[in-house]
Amino acid sequence: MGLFALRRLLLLVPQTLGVATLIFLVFRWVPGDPALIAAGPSATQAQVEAIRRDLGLDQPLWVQYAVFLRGLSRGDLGTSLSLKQPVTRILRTRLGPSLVLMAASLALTIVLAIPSGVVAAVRPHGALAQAVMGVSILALSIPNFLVGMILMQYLAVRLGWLPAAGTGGLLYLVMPTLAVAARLVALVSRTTRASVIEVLNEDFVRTARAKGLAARTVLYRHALRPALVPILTMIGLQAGYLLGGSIVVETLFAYQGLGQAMITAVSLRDYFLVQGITLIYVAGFLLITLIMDLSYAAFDPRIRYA
Amino acid sequence: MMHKGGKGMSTRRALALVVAAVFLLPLSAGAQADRPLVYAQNVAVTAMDTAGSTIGTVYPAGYEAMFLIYDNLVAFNDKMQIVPQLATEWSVSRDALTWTFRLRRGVTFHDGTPFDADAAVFHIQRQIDTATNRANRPLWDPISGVRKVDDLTIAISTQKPYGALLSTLAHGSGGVVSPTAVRRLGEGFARAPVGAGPYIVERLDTGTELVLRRNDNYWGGRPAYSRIILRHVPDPTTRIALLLSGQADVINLIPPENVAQLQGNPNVEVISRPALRTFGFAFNLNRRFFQDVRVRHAFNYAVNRGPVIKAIFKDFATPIDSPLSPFTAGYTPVNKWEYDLDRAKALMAEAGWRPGPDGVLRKDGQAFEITLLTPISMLPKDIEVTQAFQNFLRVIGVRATINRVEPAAFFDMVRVPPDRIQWDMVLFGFNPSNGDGAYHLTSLFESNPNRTGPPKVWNFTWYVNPKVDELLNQADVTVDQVKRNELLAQAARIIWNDAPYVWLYAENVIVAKRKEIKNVEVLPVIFTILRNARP
Amino acid sequence: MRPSTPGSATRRRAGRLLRVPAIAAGLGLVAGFVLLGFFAPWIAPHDPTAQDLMAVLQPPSAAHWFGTDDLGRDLASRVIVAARADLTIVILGIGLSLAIAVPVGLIAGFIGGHTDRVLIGISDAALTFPSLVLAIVLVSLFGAGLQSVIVAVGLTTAPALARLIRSLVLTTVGADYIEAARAIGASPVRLIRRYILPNIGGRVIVYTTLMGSHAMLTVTALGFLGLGVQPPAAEWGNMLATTRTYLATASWLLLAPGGAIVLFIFGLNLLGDALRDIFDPRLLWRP
Repeated sequence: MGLFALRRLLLLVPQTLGVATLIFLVFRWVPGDPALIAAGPSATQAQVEAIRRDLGLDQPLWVQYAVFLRGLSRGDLGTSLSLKQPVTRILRTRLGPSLVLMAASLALTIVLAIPSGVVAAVRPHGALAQAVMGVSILALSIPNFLVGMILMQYLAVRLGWLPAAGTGGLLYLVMPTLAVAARLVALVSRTTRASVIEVLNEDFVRTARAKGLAARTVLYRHALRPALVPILTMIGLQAGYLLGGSIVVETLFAYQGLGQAMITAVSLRDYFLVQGITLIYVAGFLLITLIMDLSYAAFDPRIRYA
Repeated sequence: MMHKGGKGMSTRRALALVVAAVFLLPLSAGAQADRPLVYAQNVAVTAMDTAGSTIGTVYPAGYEAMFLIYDNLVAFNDKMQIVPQLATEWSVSRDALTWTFRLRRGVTFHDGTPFDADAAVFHIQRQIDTATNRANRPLWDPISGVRKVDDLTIAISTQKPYGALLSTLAHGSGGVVSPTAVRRLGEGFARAPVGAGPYIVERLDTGTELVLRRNDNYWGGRPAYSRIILRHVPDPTTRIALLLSGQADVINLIPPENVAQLQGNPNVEVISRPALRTFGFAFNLNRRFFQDVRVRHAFNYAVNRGPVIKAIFKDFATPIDSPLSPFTAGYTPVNKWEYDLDRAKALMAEAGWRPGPDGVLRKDGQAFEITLLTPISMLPKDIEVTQAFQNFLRVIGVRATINRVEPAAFFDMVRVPPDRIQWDMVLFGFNPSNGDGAYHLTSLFESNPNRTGPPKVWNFTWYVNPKVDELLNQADVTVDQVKRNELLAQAARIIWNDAPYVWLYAENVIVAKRKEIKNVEVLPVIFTILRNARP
Repeated sequence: MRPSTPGSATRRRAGRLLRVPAIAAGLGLVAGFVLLGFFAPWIAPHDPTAQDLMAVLQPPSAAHWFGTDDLGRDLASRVIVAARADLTIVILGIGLSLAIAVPVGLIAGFIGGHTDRVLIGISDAALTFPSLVLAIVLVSLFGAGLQSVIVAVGLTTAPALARLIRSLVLTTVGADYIEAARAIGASPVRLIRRYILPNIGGRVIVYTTLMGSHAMLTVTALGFLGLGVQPPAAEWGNMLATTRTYLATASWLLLAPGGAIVLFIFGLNLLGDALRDIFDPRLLWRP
């Protein structure tokens, strides 16, 4: 296990590098002139050229790449054209709220979806099972920003219980988390239900029951662990959704995280900032994939040798 | 015994209560006085140097901050009248070329530097000099020099009589800077400015907030708040949420559709003032089909301004009857463009345009198809207004396509030489931030010096009328306000009838505050002034 | 015993199961929207671009079943016309995705070796981006609008689809009857056409359907963020963006575009789920 983990961790370095290179290349093909955008509307040609030199945009591509890599190693991702601050400083400020949102959504999902999925599996004709299946189909059909707007309409505008938009304390976190988590809860509860049902039908479970073990013991001690693998897979597959979905929800609620910063940066053509945020998202995605792979391996030894 | 004990205990309790009161009372009053004033703005404060080099992002947030940090020689009150500030009295020479200002005694900058003639001269010189100040040139170019007369008197000289000098001094760029700080900080002065105003910069967290603290030595009296925080909150829904929850005390730029929601709330008060910014769709007069004045008049008759104002602005805008807003100095009403569809169609027909089989006007085989340029969410209701305009044009047979562009690129696309213009009409609004009509008309309608470079200021329609140029030049050198206004009225009349724009409305600036806050001034130049605010 | 060709057992099952209510409902909804989009200009009760500034933000009424928007345009008509825009984008986007993924997956799976590694390397590189992030980056580079969203949808869904096709090809290629066909000298093209495609076809259809629902979510999200089709053209996402501005005073603006999105995706999900039950119950779809 340790060797596998080490191998995967080491793989992360070239992966991140490759991805950073890809992002670098993609953002070279921006339309318009970044120097002109940075200089602003009233700049003279001389000023634009000066800024072009400052930003290093007059150098050949490989030189720019070298500068980019060096900056990356030192944690310097350039300066945001619109906010006139180092990109890394903006990333640092905005990362926290986004992480909190994603963590809260994940936590809510685990707390709500897994238990309800288990109950739905154990009592397949009960009320909860019907609710899980019915509501989840609906939840999967509603985009997260629509869920968010419906929540905004009722909880903020009509009832005034929560602030309609913004960042800050717990109150500002409630609706964005619900909006992001809705889809996750639906998927994970369905997967949990299907997975637990499948495990409960396995031979070793029947053996355990035949041996006279109580249903609950069978469930918790024997059935849940193998059932977790597909559930974990499903959660891991949703990493992309968690990152992307948070962008839309943050924008809807003017929640000052990375996603909202990215959309603003796109509208202001602030390419350095968009580039920096993309890098963070992709690095985060790689990291989550790594964690998923490692926990997979922890549960299923066969994977380590794949 | 018990009796004694009882009395002793009650005395002790009473004593305890008194002590508690003595401690708590100042705490609560102190808490009251220490509570900062939080102002949520839609744009971030990035630079606060009065000698600026960027427009755009600084507006209006930067100026609002500057009015708290700096004092000017003279200032506007909320009726846009000139009042003394760091200058106590002034006079003009008989040839109208020299203005003498007597300066206030006993004022110091935030860094302890005394305010005197040397400082005032330094400030004015810095503004006049194109090497140190590249912004607001039309305001400062007419001033040729400044000199110290004595320790508390300066004389400002102009090349020609300059009627708008006082407005220029009261403008946001007229904030007096501390010479010591400028020399010491150089480029960094913009982020750590030092003035002589009621509030001092404590901390600038660019993009997030600006924290100001009280200037205890302010000559005008102790400012009411220990701190004022200017917070960047770009989203209007969030600003409103902050105001309603009490986390913000004042918020700016409220969309008209949210006003009803605020007016229903007892803790909140909405301030709405007609602003000086007038909006319209500018014609690219380099395009042949716009060179016929009948076409331009037709376009003006084709727009029904009333429903636009009612539907899109919820009546928080005024139709204009002059290129200038009613509150601009030098305004006189010219005329109204009434909605007259028949007249519009008749004018187009007169100009040789006939509807084709698909309803689109045609002349000599060419269809009347144009592009409308609009920024996205930079000007109030820009997209909605552009769509409404597109619709009005469709009714008279003009096919218009909307080209929308991000705010960052908008000015780039507008201020270009004639051969690089890629639009036919563009939505534009101009705010004369010194409140002066001559400044407004000159910026937009004085002919450009040449056609090889971008427009000199904001005449991107490339409008040329020598008579207008003559009138505006004359007004510039007329110090007598009555004569000046008459000249401006004549110029406005000619411009109105030449119709280089389809004129629309002057929007209201809408600001909201917690009810208990007093003396929040909202100027028609869109700025919210918090200098005199008190809880 | 009846001689069976690969795929025919599936086809027989399919025939029987078409009577399952979920499939009927799903197919009905999806087909309904496609027809709605196709015949939009004729079905719409009003001109979707006709503004009535005297009647902005009207609640639902007899004249306007879903009310009017901020420029007085009929919401019902706009939603119907928007169906055309959104469906076009999704169909063309998925089409582009298939056009890339099918050849890539077939080649990678069939030829193997270096080509396979290169192709898989490229698709893995694309897969390191969360799909919406990639879509936003692409649109920000190409500029907002219909074409950019189609390309974004196509490019973000192609890698996973290519991988799926490749792995399906790999599992099919090992089958005995393929070996047999190869032994008698069948050309690769014939092999693909007669044996591989019919075999994997079912699962590709399932996956494409589920991707369609994912694509619609992406398209409407991009529209909502202002990165898709631009106003005044109607699209469900950008209509919801307008809704947000007026949520406090005109919440019925949610009904028409929101309802349309939900119904369409619901239909597509029903269809996809049911198809999956037929063709491959163990398939875990990858977003």
